[in-house]
Amino acid sequence: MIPKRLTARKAALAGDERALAGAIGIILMLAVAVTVYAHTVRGNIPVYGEQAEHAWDERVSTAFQDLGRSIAGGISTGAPVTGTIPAPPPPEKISLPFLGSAGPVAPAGTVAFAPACTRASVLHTLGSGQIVTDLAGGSNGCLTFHATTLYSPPFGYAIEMGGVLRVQGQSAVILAGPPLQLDPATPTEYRIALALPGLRGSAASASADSADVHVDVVPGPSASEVEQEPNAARATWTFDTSHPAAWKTWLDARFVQAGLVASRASPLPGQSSSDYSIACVPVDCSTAAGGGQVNVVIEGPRTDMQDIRLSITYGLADVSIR
Amino acid sequence: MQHKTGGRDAAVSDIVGTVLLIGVTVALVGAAALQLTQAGTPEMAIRLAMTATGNSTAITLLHAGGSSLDEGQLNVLVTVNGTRALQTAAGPVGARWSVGNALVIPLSEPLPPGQAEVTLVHVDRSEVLATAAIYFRSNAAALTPAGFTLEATLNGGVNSTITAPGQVLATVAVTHPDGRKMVRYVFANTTGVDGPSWAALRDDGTHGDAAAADSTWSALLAVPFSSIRGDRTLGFTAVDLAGASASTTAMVNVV
Repeated sequence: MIPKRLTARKAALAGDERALAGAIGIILMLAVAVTVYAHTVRGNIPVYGEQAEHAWDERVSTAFQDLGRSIAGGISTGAPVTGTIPAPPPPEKISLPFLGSAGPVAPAGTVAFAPACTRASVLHTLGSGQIVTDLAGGSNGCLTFHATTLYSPPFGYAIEMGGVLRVQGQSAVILAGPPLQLDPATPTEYRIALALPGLRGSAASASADSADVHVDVVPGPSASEVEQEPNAARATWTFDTSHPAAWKTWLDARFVQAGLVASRASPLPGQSSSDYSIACVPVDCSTAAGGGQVNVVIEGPRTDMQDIRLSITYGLADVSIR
Repeated sequence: MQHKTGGRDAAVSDIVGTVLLIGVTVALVGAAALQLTQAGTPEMAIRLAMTATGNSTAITLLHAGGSSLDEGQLNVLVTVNGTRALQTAAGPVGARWSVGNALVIPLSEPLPPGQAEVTLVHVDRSEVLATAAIYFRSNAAALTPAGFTLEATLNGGVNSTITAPGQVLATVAVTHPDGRKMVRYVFANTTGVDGPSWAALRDDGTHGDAAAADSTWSALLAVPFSSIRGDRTLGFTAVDLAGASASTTAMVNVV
Protein backbone atom coordinates (compact mmCIF):
# COMPACT_ATOMS: atom_id res chain seq x y z
CA MET A 1 0.00 0.00 0.00
CA ILE A 2 1.41 3.39 -1.02
CA PRO A 3 1.49 5.98 1.68
CA LYS A 4 -0.79 9.01 1.12
CA ARG A 5 2.12 11.55 1.24
CA LEU A 6 4.02 9.74 -1.51
CA THR A 7 0.95 9.58 -3.80
CA ALA A 8 0.44 13.35 -3.44
CA ARG A 9 4.13 14.11 -4.27
CA LYS A 10 3.95 11.88 -7.37
CA ALA A 11 0.82 13.65 -8.62
CA ALA A 12 2.43 17.06 -8.15
CA LEU A 13 5.51 15.93 -10.06
CA ALA A 14 3.40 14.68 -13.02
CA GLY A 15 1.62 18.07 -13.15
CA ASP A 16 4.93 19.96 -13.19
CA GLU A 17 6.23 17.77 -16.00
CA ARG A 18 3.13 18.42 -18.09
CA ALA A 19 3.53 22.18 -17.65
CA LEU A 20 7.21 22.00 -18.50
CA ALA A 21 6.55 19.88 -21.57
CA GLY A 22 3.97 22.40 -22.81
CA ALA A 23 6.38 25.32 -22.38
CA ILE A 24 9.18 23.46 -24.13
CA GLY A 25 6.81 22.46 -26.93
CA ILE A 26 5.83 26.11 -27.54
CA ILE A 27 9.46 27.19 -27.51
CA LEU A 28 10.35 24.46 -29.99
CA MET A 29 7.48 25.43 -32.29
CA LEU A 30 8.60 29.05 -32.17
CA ALA A 31 12.15 27.94 -32.90
CA VAL A 32 10.98 25.93 -35.90
CA ALA A 33 8.86 28.87 -37.16
CA VAL A 34 11.78 31.29 -36.81
CA THR A 35 14.07 28.82 -38.60
CA VAL A 36 11.64 28.39 -41.48
CA TYR A 37 11.12 32.18 -41.76
CA ALA A 38 14.86 32.79 -41.66
CA HIS A 39 15.40 30.18 -44.34
CA THR A 40 12.69 31.65 -46.55
CA VAL A 41 13.98 35.18 -46.11
CA ARG A 42 17.60 34.19 -46.60
CA GLY A 43 16.79 32.22 -49.71
CA ASN A 44 14.51 34.63 -51.51
CA ILE A 45 15.36 38.17 -50.49
CA PRO A 46 18.72 38.31 -52.32
CA VAL A 47 17.08 36.83 -55.42
CA TYR A 48 14.23 39.36 -55.34
CA GLY A 49 16.72 42.13 -54.62
CA GLU A 50 18.94 41.17 -57.56
CA GLN A 51 15.92 40.92 -59.85
CA ALA A 52 14.74 44.40 -58.86
CA GLU A 53 18.22 45.87 -59.35
CA HIS A 54 18.56 44.19 -62.73
CA ALA A 55 15.16 45.46 -63.84
CA TRP A 56 16.15 48.98 -62.83
CA ASP A 57 19.48 48.62 -64.61
CA GLU A 58 17.70 47.72 -67.86
CA ARG A 59 15.24 50.62 -67.57
CA VAL A 60 17.97 53.15 -66.89
CA SER A 61 20.03 51.72 -69.76
CA THR A 62 17.13 52.21 -72.16
CA ALA A 63 16.48 55.73 -70.85
CA PHE A 64 20.12 56.75 -71.24
CA GLN A 65 20.42 55.28 -74.72
CA ASP A 66 17.22 57.03 -75.84
CA LEU A 67 18.46 60.29 -74.35
CA GLY A 68 21.90 59.91 -75.93
CA ARG A 69 20.32 59.22 -79.31
CA SER A 70 18.11 62.31 -78.96
CA ILE A 71 21.06 64.50 -77.96
CA ALA A 72 23.10 63.29 -80.94
CA GLY A 73 20.17 63.93 -83.27
CA GLY A 74 19.25 67.22 -81.64
CA ILE A 75 22.39 69.05 -82.65
CA SER A 76 21.29 69.09 -86.26
CA THR A 77 17.55 69.57 -85.75
CA GLY A 78 17.68 71.86 -82.70
CA ALA A 79 14.80 69.99 -81.12
CA PRO A 80 14.57 70.01 -77.30
CA VAL A 81 14.21 66.66 -75.59
CA THR A 82 13.32 65.47 -72.11
CA GLY A 83 14.67 62.20 -70.81
CA THR A 84 13.20 60.42 -67.83
CA ILE A 85 15.44 58.36 -65.59
CA PRO A 86 13.06 56.01 -63.78
CA ALA A 87 13.01 55.36 -60.06
CA PRO A 88 13.76 51.76 -59.06
CA PRO A 89 10.82 49.36 -59.39
CA PRO A 90 9.46 48.09 -56.06
CA PRO A 91 11.07 44.73 -55.31
CA GLU A 92 8.97 41.65 -54.74
CA LYS A 93 8.25 40.95 -51.07
CA ILE A 94 7.81 37.79 -49.07
CA SER A 95 4.68 37.33 -47.00
CA LEU A 96 5.37 35.85 -43.56
CA PRO A 97 2.30 34.56 -41.68
CA PHE A 98 1.69 36.42 -38.40
CA LEU A 99 4.67 38.71 -39.07
CA GLY A 100 3.64 40.72 -42.13
CA SER A 101 6.09 40.86 -45.03
CA ALA A 102 9.79 41.17 -45.63
CA GLY A 103 11.59 42.45 -48.70
CA PRO A 104 14.99 43.41 -50.02
CA VAL A 105 16.54 46.80 -49.50
CA ALA A 106 15.70 49.06 -52.43
CA PRO A 107 18.68 50.30 -54.47
CA ALA A 108 19.60 53.98 -54.54
CA GLY A 109 20.78 56.10 -57.43
CA THR A 110 21.81 59.60 -58.38
CA VAL A 111 21.61 61.48 -61.66
CA ALA A 112 24.23 64.21 -61.97
CA PHE A 113 25.52 66.70 -64.46
CA ALA A 114 29.16 67.84 -64.49
CA PRO A 115 29.87 70.70 -66.89
CA ALA A 116 33.61 70.23 -67.41
CA CYS A 117 34.34 66.53 -67.36
CA THR A 118 35.28 66.03 -71.03
CA ARG A 119 37.12 67.99 -73.67
CA ALA A 120 37.47 67.32 -77.38
CA SER A 121 39.83 68.95 -79.86
CA VAL A 122 39.44 68.29 -83.56
CA LEU A 123 42.02 69.38 -86.12
CA HIS A 124 42.76 68.59 -89.71
CA THR A 125 45.88 69.01 -91.76
CA LEU A 126 45.74 70.32 -95.32
CA GLY A 127 47.84 68.95 -98.14
CA SER A 128 50.11 71.95 -97.72
CA GLY A 129 50.82 70.97 -94.14
CA GLN A 130 48.75 73.79 -92.67
CA ILE A 131 46.76 72.78 -89.58
CA VAL A 132 43.13 73.88 -89.30
CA THR A 133 41.27 73.79 -85.99
CA ASP A 134 37.69 72.52 -86.25
CA LEU A 135 36.95 72.35 -82.54
CA ALA A 136 39.18 73.44 -79.66
CA GLY A 137 38.45 72.10 -76.18
CA GLY A 138 34.76 71.61 -76.91
CA SER A 139 32.15 68.94 -76.34
CA ASN A 140 32.31 69.38 -72.57
CA GLY A 141 29.83 68.12 -70.07
CA CYS A 142 28.75 64.72 -68.79
CA LEU A 143 25.42 63.44 -67.65
CA THR A 144 25.94 60.54 -65.28
CA PHE A 145 23.93 58.03 -63.32
CA HIS A 146 25.31 55.97 -60.47
CA ALA A 147 23.41 53.25 -58.62
CA THR A 148 24.28 51.90 -55.19
CA THR A 149 23.20 48.30 -55.03
CA LEU A 150 23.25 45.58 -52.40
CA TYR A 151 22.60 42.34 -54.26
CA SER A 152 24.48 42.85 -57.55
CA PRO A 153 27.53 44.83 -58.65
CA PRO A 154 26.96 48.60 -58.65
CA PHE A 155 26.31 50.06 -62.08
CA GLY A 156 26.25 53.42 -63.77
CA TYR A 157 25.78 55.17 -67.08
CA ALA A 158 27.22 58.29 -68.65
CA ILE A 159 26.55 60.44 -71.68
CA GLU A 160 29.65 62.27 -72.86
CA MET A 161 30.72 63.62 -76.24
CA GLY A 162 27.61 62.12 -77.81
CA GLY A 163 28.38 58.60 -76.59
CA VAL A 164 26.48 56.51 -74.07
CA LEU A 165 28.65 54.52 -71.69
CA ARG A 166 27.95 51.84 -69.16
CA VAL A 167 30.18 52.19 -66.13
CA GLN A 168 30.99 49.48 -63.57
CA GLY A 169 33.58 50.54 -61.03
CA GLN A 170 36.69 51.71 -62.90
CA SER A 171 35.63 49.94 -66.10
CA ALA A 172 33.38 51.26 -68.83
CA VAL A 173 32.09 50.31 -72.24
CA ILE A 174 30.52 52.45 -74.93
CA LEU A 175 27.04 51.17 -75.65
CA ALA A 176 26.44 53.67 -78.44
CA GLY A 177 29.00 56.10 -79.73
CA PRO A 178 28.48 59.52 -81.28
CA PRO A 179 27.44 59.69 -84.93
CA LEU A 180 30.58 58.65 -86.80
CA GLN A 181 30.57 57.69 -90.44
CA LEU A 182 33.74 56.16 -91.83
CA ASP A 183 33.60 55.39 -95.48
CA PRO A 184 36.75 54.36 -97.28
CA ALA A 185 34.72 54.85 -100.46
CA THR A 186 37.55 54.48 -102.94
CA PRO A 187 41.21 53.48 -102.70
CA THR A 188 42.10 57.13 -103.23
CA GLU A 189 39.61 58.90 -100.99
CA TYR A 190 38.09 58.48 -97.53
CA ARG A 191 34.88 60.09 -96.33
CA ILE A 192 34.61 60.77 -92.61
CA ALA A 193 31.78 62.50 -90.74
CA LEU A 194 31.73 63.03 -86.99
CA ALA A 195 29.21 64.76 -84.77
CA LEU A 196 30.30 65.84 -81.30
CA PRO A 197 27.54 67.29 -79.13
CA GLY A 198 28.57 69.18 -76.01
CA LEU A 199 26.49 69.67 -72.87
CA ARG A 200 26.46 72.77 -70.75
CA GLY A 201 24.71 73.90 -67.60
CA SER A 202 25.30 74.21 -63.89
CA ALA A 203 26.60 71.27 -61.92
CA ALA A 204 23.59 69.54 -60.44
CA SER A 205 22.41 66.22 -59.11
CA ALA A 206 19.15 64.59 -58.11
CA SER A 207 18.24 61.43 -56.29
CA ALA A 208 16.38 58.78 -58.26
CA ASP A 209 15.69 56.66 -55.17
CA SER A 210 11.96 57.16 -54.98
CA ALA A 211 10.89 59.34 -57.90
CA ASP A 212 11.69 59.68 -61.59
CA VAL A 213 14.32 62.25 -62.53
CA HIS A 214 13.70 64.36 -65.62
CA VAL A 215 16.55 65.68 -67.74
CA ASP A 216 15.77 68.56 -70.09
CA VAL A 217 18.11 69.08 -73.00
CA VAL A 218 17.70 72.17 -75.18
CA PRO A 219 20.08 72.31 -78.14
CA GLY A 220 21.63 75.64 -78.95
CA PRO A 221 23.07 76.73 -82.28
CA SER A 222 25.26 74.14 -83.96
CA ALA A 223 27.90 74.41 -86.61
CA SER A 224 29.00 72.09 -89.35
CA GLU A 225 32.26 71.89 -91.18
CA VAL A 226 30.94 70.23 -94.32
CA GLU A 227 33.05 69.66 -97.35
CA GLN A 228 32.05 68.38 -100.76
CA GLU A 229 35.64 68.09 -101.88
CA PRO A 230 38.56 66.39 -100.14
CA ASN A 231 39.65 68.88 -97.54
CA ALA A 232 42.19 67.08 -95.37
CA ALA A 233 45.29 64.97 -95.61
CA ARG A 234 45.06 64.01 -91.97
CA ALA A 235 42.50 64.31 -89.17
CA THR A 236 43.63 64.58 -85.56
CA TRP A 237 41.19 64.14 -82.71
CA THR A 238 41.97 64.44 -79.00
CA PHE A 239 39.49 63.40 -76.35
CA ASP A 240 39.98 64.04 -72.61
CA THR A 241 37.71 61.69 -70.71
CA SER A 242 37.33 59.67 -67.54
CA HIS A 243 37.01 56.54 -69.66
CA PRO A 244 39.84 56.53 -72.22
CA ALA A 245 39.97 52.73 -72.49
CA ALA A 246 36.32 52.56 -73.47
CA TRP A 247 36.74 55.24 -76.16
CA LYS A 248 39.87 53.61 -77.53
CA THR A 249 38.13 50.23 -77.75
CA TRP A 250 35.08 51.71 -79.48
CA LEU A 251 37.04 53.79 -81.98
CA ASP A 252 39.32 50.90 -82.78
CA ALA A 253 36.34 48.62 -83.44
CA ARG A 254 34.68 51.21 -85.68
CA PHE A 255 37.83 51.74 -87.74
CA VAL A 256 38.44 48.02 -88.17
CA GLN A 257 34.79 47.54 -89.09
CA ALA A 258 35.09 50.24 -91.74
CA GLY A 259 38.03 48.42 -93.28
CA LEU A 260 40.76 50.82 -92.13
CA VAL A 261 44.05 49.26 -91.09
CA ALA A 262 46.28 50.36 -88.23
CA SER A 263 49.44 49.09 -89.85
CA ARG A 264 50.03 48.10 -93.46
CA ALA A 265 52.94 45.67 -93.79
CA SER A 266 53.58 46.25 -97.49
CA PRO A 267 52.18 49.60 -98.59
CA LEU A 268 52.02 50.18 -102.32
CA PRO A 269 54.00 53.11 -103.73
CA GLY A 270 52.30 56.31 -102.61
CA GLN A 271 50.03 54.45 -100.19
CA SER A 272 49.97 55.35 -96.49
CA SER A 273 51.51 52.72 -94.26
CA SER A 274 48.76 53.29 -91.72
CA ASP A 275 45.16 54.47 -92.01
CA TYR A 276 44.87 55.40 -88.37
CA SER A 277 46.41 55.23 -84.93
CA ILE A 278 44.80 55.45 -81.52
CA ALA A 279 46.89 56.05 -78.42
CA CYS A 280 46.10 56.76 -74.79
CA VAL A 281 47.78 59.07 -72.32
CA PRO A 282 48.79 57.38 -70.07
CA VAL A 283 49.67 54.62 -72.47
CA ASP A 284 47.81 51.90 -70.61
CA CYS A 285 44.58 53.99 -70.73
CA SER A 286 44.40 53.80 -66.94
CA THR A 287 42.40 56.38 -65.05
CA ALA A 288 44.49 56.33 -61.89
CA ALA A 289 44.96 60.09 -62.12
CA GLY A 290 41.22 60.60 -62.51
CA GLY A 291 41.08 60.63 -66.27
CA GLY A 292 43.05 60.21 -69.43
CA GLN A 293 43.36 61.23 -73.03
CA VAL A 294 42.73 59.44 -76.31
CA ASN A 295 44.62 60.64 -79.38
CA VAL A 296 43.35 59.61 -82.80
CA VAL A 297 45.14 60.26 -86.07
CA ILE A 298 43.49 59.31 -89.36
CA GLU A 299 45.59 59.39 -92.49
CA GLY A 300 44.28 59.62 -96.01
CA PRO A 301 44.89 56.65 -98.28
CA ARG A 302 47.79 58.36 -100.06
CA THR A 303 50.82 59.92 -98.46
CA ASP A 304 50.92 63.74 -98.39
CA MET A 305 47.71 64.09 -100.39
CA GLN A 306 44.54 65.96 -99.46
CA ASP A 307 42.30 62.96 -99.89
CA ILE A 308 39.86 62.92 -96.93
CA ARG A 309 36.39 64.44 -97.18
CA LEU A 310 35.97 65.44 -93.56
CA SER A 311 32.69 66.70 -92.10
CA ILE A 312 32.55 67.79 -88.49
CA THR A 313 29.30 68.77 -86.78
CA TYR A 314 29.32 70.17 -83.29
CA GLY A 315 26.89 71.98 -81.08
CA LEU A 316 26.00 72.73 -77.51
CA ALA A 317 22.90 71.78 -75.60
CA ASP A 318 21.73 73.18 -72.26
CA VAL A 319 21.07 70.53 -69.63
CA SER A 320 18.94 70.84 -66.54
CA ILE A 321 17.88 68.17 -64.07
CA ARG A 322 14.62 68.17 -62.16
CA MET B 1 10.42 -1.17 1.62
CA GLN B 2 9.95 -2.82 -1.75
CA HIS B 3 7.07 -0.44 -2.58
CA LYS B 4 9.22 2.57 -1.66
CA THR B 5 12.10 1.52 -3.88
CA GLY B 6 9.80 0.74 -6.86
CA GLY B 7 8.09 4.22 -6.65
CA ARG B 8 11.41 6.10 -6.60
CA ASP B 9 12.56 4.17 -9.70
CA ALA B 10 9.33 4.99 -11.51
CA ALA B 11 9.76 8.76 -10.86
CA VAL B 12 13.34 8.72 -12.09
CA SER B 13 12.32 6.88 -15.28
CA ASP B 14 9.72 9.57 -16.09
CA ILE B 15 12.25 12.36 -15.73
CA VAL B 16 14.90 10.50 -17.70
CA GLY B 17 12.38 9.74 -20.43
CA THR B 18 11.24 13.36 -20.65
CA VAL B 19 14.82 14.65 -20.78
CA LEU B 20 15.70 12.12 -23.47
CA LEU B 21 12.66 13.06 -25.57
CA ILE B 22 13.47 16.77 -25.26
CA GLY B 23 17.08 16.04 -26.21
CA VAL B 24 16.04 14.02 -29.26
CA THR B 25 13.59 16.79 -30.34
CA VAL B 26 16.18 19.54 -29.88
CA ALA B 27 18.71 17.53 -31.86
CA LEU B 28 16.23 16.94 -34.68
CA VAL B 29 15.15 20.60 -34.85
CA GLY B 30 18.76 21.72 -34.69
CA ALA B 31 19.77 19.37 -37.49
CA ALA B 32 16.83 20.54 -39.61
CA ALA B 33 17.67 24.20 -38.96
CA LEU B 34 21.30 23.63 -39.83
CA GLN B 35 20.40 21.88 -43.06
CA LEU B 36 17.87 24.57 -44.00
CA THR B 37 20.24 27.44 -43.41
CA GLN B 38 23.17 25.79 -45.18
CA ALA B 39 21.21 24.54 -48.15
CA GLY B 40 19.26 27.77 -48.40
CA THR B 41 21.96 29.94 -50.01
CA PRO B 42 20.49 30.67 -53.45
CA GLU B 43 22.42 30.53 -56.69
CA MET B 44 22.35 34.07 -58.06
CA ALA B 45 21.73 34.68 -61.74
CA ILE B 46 24.70 35.59 -63.94
CA ARG B 47 23.91 38.73 -65.91
CA LEU B 48 25.83 39.48 -69.06
CA ALA B 49 25.45 41.87 -71.97
CA MET B 50 27.69 41.21 -74.94
CA THR B 51 28.30 42.52 -78.43
CA ALA B 52 30.12 40.64 -81.16
CA THR B 53 32.06 41.68 -84.22
CA GLY B 54 34.06 39.58 -86.60
CA ASN B 55 36.33 39.50 -89.58
CA SER B 56 38.25 36.87 -91.46
CA THR B 57 40.76 36.29 -88.68
CA ALA B 58 38.87 36.61 -85.41
CA ILE B 59 35.60 37.05 -83.59
CA THR B 60 35.67 39.72 -80.91
CA LEU B 61 33.23 39.62 -78.02
CA LEU B 62 32.90 42.82 -76.00
CA HIS B 63 31.69 42.62 -72.41
CA ALA B 64 28.99 45.26 -72.31
CA GLY B 65 27.94 44.97 -68.67
CA GLY B 66 27.09 42.51 -65.92
CA SER B 67 29.05 39.93 -63.99
CA SER B 68 32.81 39.53 -64.19
CA LEU B 69 33.46 36.00 -65.47
CA ASP B 70 36.25 33.44 -65.52
CA GLU B 71 37.17 32.91 -69.19
CA GLY B 72 37.99 29.27 -68.43
CA GLN B 73 34.36 28.69 -67.50
CA LEU B 74 33.06 29.91 -70.85
CA ASN B 75 32.53 28.11 -74.12
CA VAL B 76 31.92 29.93 -77.38
CA LEU B 77 29.64 28.31 -79.94
CA VAL B 78 29.27 29.79 -83.41
CA THR B 79 26.65 28.69 -85.90
CA VAL B 80 26.52 30.03 -89.43
CA ASN B 81 23.26 29.66 -91.31
CA GLY B 82 22.15 27.17 -88.67
CA THR B 83 25.22 24.93 -88.95
CA ARG B 84 27.76 24.62 -86.12
CA ALA B 85 30.95 26.25 -87.37
CA LEU B 86 33.02 26.63 -84.23
CA GLN B 87 33.11 25.49 -80.62
CA THR B 88 35.97 26.56 -78.41
CA ALA B 89 36.91 27.59 -74.92
CA ALA B 90 36.81 31.34 -74.45
CA GLY B 91 40.12 31.59 -72.65
CA PRO B 92 42.37 30.23 -69.91
CA VAL B 93 41.12 29.39 -66.43
CA GLY B 94 41.63 32.27 -64.03
CA ALA B 95 41.59 35.05 -66.62
CA ARG B 96 38.80 37.47 -65.78
CA TRP B 97 36.50 38.92 -68.43
CA SER B 98 34.90 42.11 -67.19
CA VAL B 99 33.16 45.24 -68.47
CA GLY B 100 34.82 46.89 -71.43
CA ASN B 101 37.19 43.99 -72.10
CA ALA B 102 37.31 42.25 -75.44
CA LEU B 103 37.50 38.49 -75.77
CA VAL B 104 39.22 37.65 -79.04
CA ILE B 105 38.49 34.23 -80.52
CA PRO B 106 41.00 33.60 -83.30
CA LEU B 107 39.76 31.85 -86.42
CA SER B 108 42.03 29.34 -88.12
CA GLU B 109 40.14 30.00 -91.35
CA PRO B 110 37.41 32.47 -92.35
CA LEU B 111 33.90 31.41 -91.45
CA PRO B 112 31.53 30.71 -94.30
CA PRO B 113 29.48 33.69 -95.48
CA GLY B 114 26.10 34.26 -93.89
CA GLN B 115 24.52 35.13 -90.60
CA ALA B 116 26.50 33.86 -87.64
CA GLU B 117 25.10 33.46 -84.17
CA VAL B 118 27.58 33.53 -81.32
CA THR B 119 26.48 31.82 -78.11
CA LEU B 120 28.36 32.06 -74.85
CA VAL B 121 27.80 29.12 -72.51
CA HIS B 122 28.80 28.83 -68.85
CA VAL B 123 30.36 25.38 -68.60
CA ASP B 124 29.70 24.59 -64.93
CA ARG B 125 26.14 25.84 -64.96
CA SER B 126 25.34 24.55 -68.46
CA GLU B 127 23.65 27.88 -69.01
CA VAL B 128 23.53 30.15 -72.05
CA LEU B 129 24.70 33.54 -70.82
CA ALA B 130 24.36 35.63 -73.99
CA THR B 131 23.95 35.46 -77.73
CA ALA B 132 24.91 37.92 -80.44
CA ALA B 133 24.68 38.03 -84.22
CA ILE B 134 27.42 38.76 -86.73
CA TYR B 135 27.07 38.96 -90.46
CA PHE B 136 29.83 37.57 -92.63
CA ARG B 137 30.06 38.15 -96.32
CA SER B 138 32.29 36.35 -98.76
CA ASN B 139 35.38 38.26 -97.70
CA ALA B 140 34.38 37.72 -94.06
CA ALA B 141 33.94 41.39 -93.20
CA ALA B 142 30.82 42.60 -91.41
CA LEU B 143 28.13 43.76 -93.79
CA THR B 144 24.67 45.19 -93.70
CA PRO B 145 22.43 42.51 -92.23
CA ALA B 146 19.82 41.03 -94.52
CA GLY B 147 16.54 42.77 -93.93
CA PHE B 148 18.06 46.11 -92.84
CA THR B 149 16.24 48.30 -95.34
CA LEU B 150 14.98 51.85 -95.78
CA GLU B 151 12.05 53.20 -97.73
CA ALA B 152 11.96 56.97 -98.17
CA THR B 153 8.92 59.10 -98.92
CA LEU B 154 8.77 62.86 -99.46
CA ASN B 155 5.79 64.91 -98.31
CA GLY B 156 3.84 61.77 -97.57
CA GLY B 157 4.17 60.67 -101.19
CA VAL B 158 1.73 63.39 -102.24
CA ASN B 159 4.00 65.93 -103.84
CA SER B 160 7.75 65.86 -104.32
CA THR B 161 7.92 69.24 -106.06
CA ILE B 162 9.33 71.93 -103.80
CA THR B 163 9.54 75.65 -104.42
CA ALA B 164 12.86 76.92 -103.16
CA PRO B 165 13.28 78.20 -100.54
CA GLY B 166 11.06 75.75 -98.77
CA GLN B 167 10.88 72.60 -96.73
CA VAL B 168 10.31 69.00 -97.57
CA LEU B 169 9.02 66.44 -95.10
CA ALA B 170 11.17 63.35 -95.42
CA THR B 171 9.82 60.11 -93.97
CA VAL B 172 11.94 56.98 -93.88
CA ALA B 173 10.53 53.62 -92.82
CA VAL B 174 13.35 51.56 -91.35
CA THR B 175 13.25 47.80 -91.03
CA HIS B 176 15.93 46.02 -89.04
CA PRO B 177 16.03 42.23 -88.58
CA ASP B 178 16.94 42.61 -84.89
CA GLY B 179 14.25 45.14 -84.08
CA ARG B 180 13.66 48.84 -83.82
CA LYS B 181 16.05 49.42 -80.93
CA MET B 182 19.02 48.27 -82.99
CA VAL B 183 18.75 51.45 -85.08
CA ARG B 184 21.16 54.03 -83.75
CA TYR B 185 20.28 56.95 -86.00
CA VAL B 186 18.98 57.91 -89.40
CA PHE B 187 20.24 60.95 -91.23
CA ALA B 188 19.71 62.69 -94.51
CA ASN B 189 22.33 63.94 -96.93
CA THR B 190 20.84 67.05 -98.47
CA THR B 191 23.87 68.18 -100.43
CA GLY B 192 21.81 67.40 -103.55
CA VAL B 193 19.69 70.47 -102.75
CA ASP B 194 22.64 72.50 -101.48
CA GLY B 195 21.87 71.63 -97.86
CA PRO B 196 24.07 70.08 -95.15
CA SER B 197 25.44 66.57 -95.44
CA TRP B 198 24.13 65.70 -92.01
CA ALA B 199 20.55 66.25 -90.90
CA ALA B 200 19.16 63.86 -88.33
CA LEU B 201 15.75 62.29 -88.68
CA ARG B 202 13.70 61.55 -85.60
CA ASP B 203 11.41 58.81 -84.39
CA ASP B 204 10.06 60.55 -81.30
CA GLY B 205 6.80 61.98 -82.54
CA THR B 206 8.12 65.54 -82.84
CA HIS B 207 9.30 67.85 -85.61
CA GLY B 208 7.25 66.31 -88.34
CA ASP B 209 7.46 62.74 -87.06
CA ALA B 210 3.92 61.43 -86.80
CA ALA B 211 4.41 58.84 -84.06
CA ALA B 212 7.18 57.96 -81.65
CA ALA B 213 8.96 54.60 -81.77
CA ASP B 214 7.14 53.30 -84.85
CA SER B 215 10.34 52.75 -86.90
CA THR B 216 9.33 55.58 -89.21
CA TRP B 217 11.87 58.40 -88.94
CA SER B 218 11.07 61.90 -90.18
CA ALA B 219 12.49 65.39 -90.53
CA LEU B 220 11.62 68.66 -92.19
CA LEU B 221 14.55 69.31 -94.52
CA ALA B 222 15.32 72.79 -95.72
CA VAL B 223 15.61 73.40 -99.44
CA PRO B 224 17.53 76.68 -99.68
CA PHE B 225 17.05 79.30 -102.36
CA SER B 226 20.48 78.46 -103.72
CA SER B 227 19.37 74.93 -104.66
CA ILE B 228 19.91 74.01 -108.26
CA ARG B 229 16.51 73.67 -109.94
CA GLY B 230 15.36 70.40 -111.40
CA ASP B 231 15.32 66.80 -110.21
CA ARG B 232 17.67 66.49 -107.28
CA THR B 233 18.60 63.51 -105.13
CA LEU B 234 18.29 63.28 -101.35
CA GLY B 235 20.22 60.51 -99.64
CA PHE B 236 19.19 58.70 -96.46
CA THR B 237 21.37 56.46 -94.31
CA ALA B 238 20.53 54.45 -91.20
CA VAL B 239 23.25 53.18 -88.89
CA ASP B 240 22.65 50.43 -86.35
CA LEU B 241 24.28 49.79 -83.00
CA ALA B 242 26.70 47.33 -84.60
CA GLY B 243 27.90 49.99 -87.01
CA ALA B 244 26.22 48.51 -90.09
CA SER B 245 24.43 50.95 -92.35
CA ALA B 246 21.74 50.89 -94.99
CA SER B 247 20.96 53.63 -97.50
CA THR B 248 18.35 54.76 -99.94
CA THR B 249 17.58 57.85 -102.01
CA ALA B 250 14.55 59.88 -103.01
CA MET B 251 14.09 62.37 -105.83
CA VAL B 252 12.83 65.89 -105.27
CA ASN B 253 11.92 68.32 -108.02
CA VAL B 254 13.14 71.79 -107.03
CA VAL B 255 11.39 74.66 -108.79
